[in-house]
Amino acid sequence: MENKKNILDRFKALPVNRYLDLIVLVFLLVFPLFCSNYWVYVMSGIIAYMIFALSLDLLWGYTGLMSMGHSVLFGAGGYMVGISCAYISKAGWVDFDRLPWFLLPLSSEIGAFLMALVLPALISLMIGFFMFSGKIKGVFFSLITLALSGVAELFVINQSKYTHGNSGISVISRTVISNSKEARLDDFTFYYVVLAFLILAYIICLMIVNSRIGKVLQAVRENEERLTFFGYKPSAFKLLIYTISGMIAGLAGVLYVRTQGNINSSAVGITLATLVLVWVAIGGRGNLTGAMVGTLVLQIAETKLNSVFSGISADFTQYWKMVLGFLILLIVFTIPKGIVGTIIDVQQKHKDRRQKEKILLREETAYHEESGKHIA
Amino acid sequence: MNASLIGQLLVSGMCSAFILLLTSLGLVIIMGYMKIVNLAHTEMLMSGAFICYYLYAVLHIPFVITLILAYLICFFFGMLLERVIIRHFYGKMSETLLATYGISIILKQLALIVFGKSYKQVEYPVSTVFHMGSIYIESYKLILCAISMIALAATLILINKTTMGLKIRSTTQNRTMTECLGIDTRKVDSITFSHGMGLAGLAGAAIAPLTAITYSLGESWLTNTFMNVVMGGVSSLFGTVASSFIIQEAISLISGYSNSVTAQIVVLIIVIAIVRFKPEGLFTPKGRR
Repeated sequence: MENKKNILDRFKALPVNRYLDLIVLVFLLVFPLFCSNYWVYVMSGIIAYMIFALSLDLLWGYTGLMSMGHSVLFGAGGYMVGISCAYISKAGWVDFDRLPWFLLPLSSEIGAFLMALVLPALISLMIGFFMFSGKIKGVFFSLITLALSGVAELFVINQSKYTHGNSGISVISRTVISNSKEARLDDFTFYYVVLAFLILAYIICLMIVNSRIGKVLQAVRENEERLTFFGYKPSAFKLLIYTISGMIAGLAGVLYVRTQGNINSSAVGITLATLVLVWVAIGGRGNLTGAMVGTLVLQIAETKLNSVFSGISADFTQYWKMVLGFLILLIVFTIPKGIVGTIIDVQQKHKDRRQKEKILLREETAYHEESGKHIA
Repeated sequence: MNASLIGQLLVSGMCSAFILLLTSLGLVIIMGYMKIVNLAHTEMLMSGAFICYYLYAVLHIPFVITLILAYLICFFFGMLLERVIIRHFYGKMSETLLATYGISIILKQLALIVFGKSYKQVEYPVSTVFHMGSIYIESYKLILCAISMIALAATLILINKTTMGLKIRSTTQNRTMTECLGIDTRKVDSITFSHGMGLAGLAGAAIAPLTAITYSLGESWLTNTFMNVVMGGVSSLFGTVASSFIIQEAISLISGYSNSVTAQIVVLIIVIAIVRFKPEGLFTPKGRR
């Protein structure tokens, strides 16, 4: 009995965003039961984006490193799978017989999957090593990563021998590792596979955030200098989280390519890099839920509105982007912590007030008892 | 590779360096004196180019006056923007980044909706080609170099020799003290920001004849201008001058030997390497700040 009450209390003590997580999870679990195949397909892409947003939230929300080139890591993962698939299944445009030495793991399917996780981690490790060992911080990190994504997009278009330039690579979709047509799953099953990856990524992020490392990371965000005085080495922690975040972004890239069936140069460019910033900013950073909710709401809204307005105007995307611009301004003006961040704040305030009332009540009764004793 | 080709590459690199200097001057000023990263900067370049098209190519206003008008229009637009939006976010880094990014999307999409996807072209105001020995260079690029130097000189004079510049510098150094001396720092901020935006408009109008004018013009300048700011640092305008030269000469030489994308990658690596050792920019003032 005691134990049961304890669990209930602990459950009640959870911040509101964990309930939101649960709601999102339930929504995603039952979603395919009520929707058409097309929406299941769209939704699995959105879930891949949600993993991507989670990886950025680890970096931006918790550590305070605003990466404006996170799409490079996403695209690196995606392109590894893309190139491997094109090479193994001998796509029409492939005119090379052998892969260069550094891409050799791509000749096997599992090698490609591992490479898609390792390469983004390596890229972030190298860049992070250079940047964090020096004194580059704050906005310069953002600007260098911004330049990185701009250059990466040019690089992908330029290396058309391997990346097929602007037109991108088509991939046999709806399998996680295999490239054979027989192994492909139907939309419905693959949706749950991707969802399982999202849950996995979420649990990993939650574990990191709640561990000691997570606390140090938040300290990096709040006051790096003071952390140094405590004998910590912020650069090592920043490097660690950047690498982990890169790996998760790479995983998101793989899943995105596998669900959507193609990848092109926009997946590494500035557009996606800033789009994911917008999702995280609108959802609210620094609590994992915000990244997921922001991505989910905005992407569903875009797809839904797109299908509604496509009959009226063909250029819906233009107007949508403008709406996004105004939305960012609105969010930054009114609720700079994002939607979920504000909800948490409100709950916290409510809790504080209740706590205060309880203490006041206790003091009052104590006072009365005291005075009662006195009279007696 | 012979000497004349290298000379040609160096000279065209120098011209590009001046152009890069011109296009990133406004960004550096806003970032250096206000600690605001203006992501809408490149969209202001785009706006400047459109202003140039409509004033110079459509209305046939003389080019010099077009440049001045572009500066003024963007100056007042910057003033409006500062009053309505930027003013609320001083001292908040990620909020300003997001807000200016929001502005940049709105500007870009507005241009797309209003002007469409088609390309617009502005004729060279001076179409002669200047040549010295075996090195050829378009005269207009030389004029651009001159414009760039004038803009730099004017900005340096504004900041170092005028009362307004004194106010700007003192606001950057110690805002509270400046306010105590009875100076309206809000007005100073407004002018600094507007000047930066105006310079962006001027630069956009000046580079309009070189490029196809379309809504995505800003994107192509994004990487280079921001790399320039990162490398040159914000504490000194001479750092920006030097870094423009390093970046553009390197791009020019490397593109001559291989291709422009390799050049971009190499330059990015150079920038990251230099910033690793000089995080405050190329030339940092000695002593405590």
